[in-house]
Amino acid sequence: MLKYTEVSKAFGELVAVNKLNLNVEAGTILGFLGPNGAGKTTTIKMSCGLVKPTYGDIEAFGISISKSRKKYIKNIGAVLEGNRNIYWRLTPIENMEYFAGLRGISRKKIREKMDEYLEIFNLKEKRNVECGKLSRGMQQKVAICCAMIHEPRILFLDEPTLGLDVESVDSMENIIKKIISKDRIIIITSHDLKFVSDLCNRITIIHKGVLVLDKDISFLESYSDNITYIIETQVLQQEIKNDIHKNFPVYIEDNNNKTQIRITLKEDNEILEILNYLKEISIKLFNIRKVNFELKDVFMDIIKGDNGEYARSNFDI
Amino acid sequence: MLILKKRYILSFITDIVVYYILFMGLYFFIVNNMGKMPKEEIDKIVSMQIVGYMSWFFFSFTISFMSNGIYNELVEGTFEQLCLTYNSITKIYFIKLLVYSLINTLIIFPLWLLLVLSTGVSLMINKDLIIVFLIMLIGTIGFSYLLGGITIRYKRTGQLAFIISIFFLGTSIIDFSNIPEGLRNVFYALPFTKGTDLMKSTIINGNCVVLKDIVFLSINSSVYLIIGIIIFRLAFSKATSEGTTSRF
Repeated sequence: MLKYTEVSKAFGELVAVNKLNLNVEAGTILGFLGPNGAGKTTTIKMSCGLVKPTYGDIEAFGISISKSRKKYIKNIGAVLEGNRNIYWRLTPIENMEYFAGLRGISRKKIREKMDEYLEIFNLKEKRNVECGKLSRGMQQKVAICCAMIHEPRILFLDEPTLGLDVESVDSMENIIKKIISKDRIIIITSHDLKFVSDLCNRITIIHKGVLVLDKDISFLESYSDNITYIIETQVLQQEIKNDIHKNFPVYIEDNNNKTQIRITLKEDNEILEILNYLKEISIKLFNIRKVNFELKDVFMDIIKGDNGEYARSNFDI
Repeated sequence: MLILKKRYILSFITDIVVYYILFMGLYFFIVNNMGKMPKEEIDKIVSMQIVGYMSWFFFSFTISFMSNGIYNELVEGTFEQLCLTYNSITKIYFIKLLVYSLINTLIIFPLWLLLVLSTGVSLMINKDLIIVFLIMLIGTIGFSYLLGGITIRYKRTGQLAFIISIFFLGTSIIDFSNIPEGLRNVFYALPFTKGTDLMKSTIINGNCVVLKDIVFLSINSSVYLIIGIIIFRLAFSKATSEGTTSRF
């Protein structure tokens, strides 16, 4: 299990990660999401021992990073920032041998592992080609091979699909499905939400350094069981907004000289209540539409609410 | 590292050619300005210059490996991968520096041969020279760590390494016997200068190095190694606190 306890990181006045508490069980492929600057990369780098937490601790299968960094790191493999993790003038084999050597793995074991990974990652034909001459997708694969050569139980993949074409993304998805096992954890950060929802069995969203959502992927189905409507009206005064907030489960924001009311309901006919209410106070309606949810919508819902207020009220976090 | 040298063979050859041309320019300058000095005297001066120059070549290559090497690893993103191994980054770079120093030592020989053949002087390697060289290597590694620490903290330090390198090129060709004792002691407190002076002395005069000099050089090198490692570790610790191990 990967366990975060009250993990915080501040860079001067800026709090990048704020009291992160999270437990990730073995066998999980976790989609670790958040907008730019949310604190994803800082969290991953803290998990890899590359950034020291200001407060809190991280444990990998019972080993604390602050108490026993060396043992902790043995459990960790990471590909950070896509293909910038390997020596481009070396071949896939040379890269793997180099990183395995640094991790003190015997030559015999390196050979065995290399053959296995070259097969899984479909790199056999390119084994002796300098990495600089490989496609971006291939370079990503080599980087993952190098990160996995010591068989870590926890693998971090930061933006593994960055710059990849559709076919390579598909191939990456298949590879990740192949390497996940019951005693391994894979944590993925990505802005490709389709890739994440197709692959991950758990979703975590961090926003402004705060964990705002942590759910099994199945929550998406229950989320879409709720019915959400978006009602666009004239710009509403704050008093009216407060009144609507008091009476209905809504999220309201102003956008392009309009006010957008997002309401989550159990049944379609419940929409009539708010429409009647708006009619009574003579609010001009521009548009009403029903929303079909994907992870992207959930993500947008969450990050629109400041500090995840909307998510907290809707997901019982 | 040898594989990378092989892959960058053209860069490696041009480096050797540049250093060769630079020395030959220096050589012709010396010969043309010696006037009617006896040939033995000129040969002695040229021999001293070759020893100083080779020693500087080694020093310069080693320290620039640390500043440019770390910077390149930061750019390629491999620096963080090195941090992700169980070995400490100080230990990894110690091994890298040792291997690189060994490679540089191998490179010195063809350049040495080229210079000796081009200038017609004879230079023999002796036991004392190897001892001095090895002790000097410790100080050079220490100074490289210091530059490496500065690179981790402030990133692009190639020009700083270049300025330091040029400064020490000056100290490598100075005849320290001709400068005031106070100033000479200041120069001897720097890394590399005392060692180079002793190497010149062992080759040119065939002098055995006295124990006092060995002790002084050992202390000097050890101090630079300790200071270098401390600064390197502090810089790395600061970088992990500030989260700048991937910035370049």
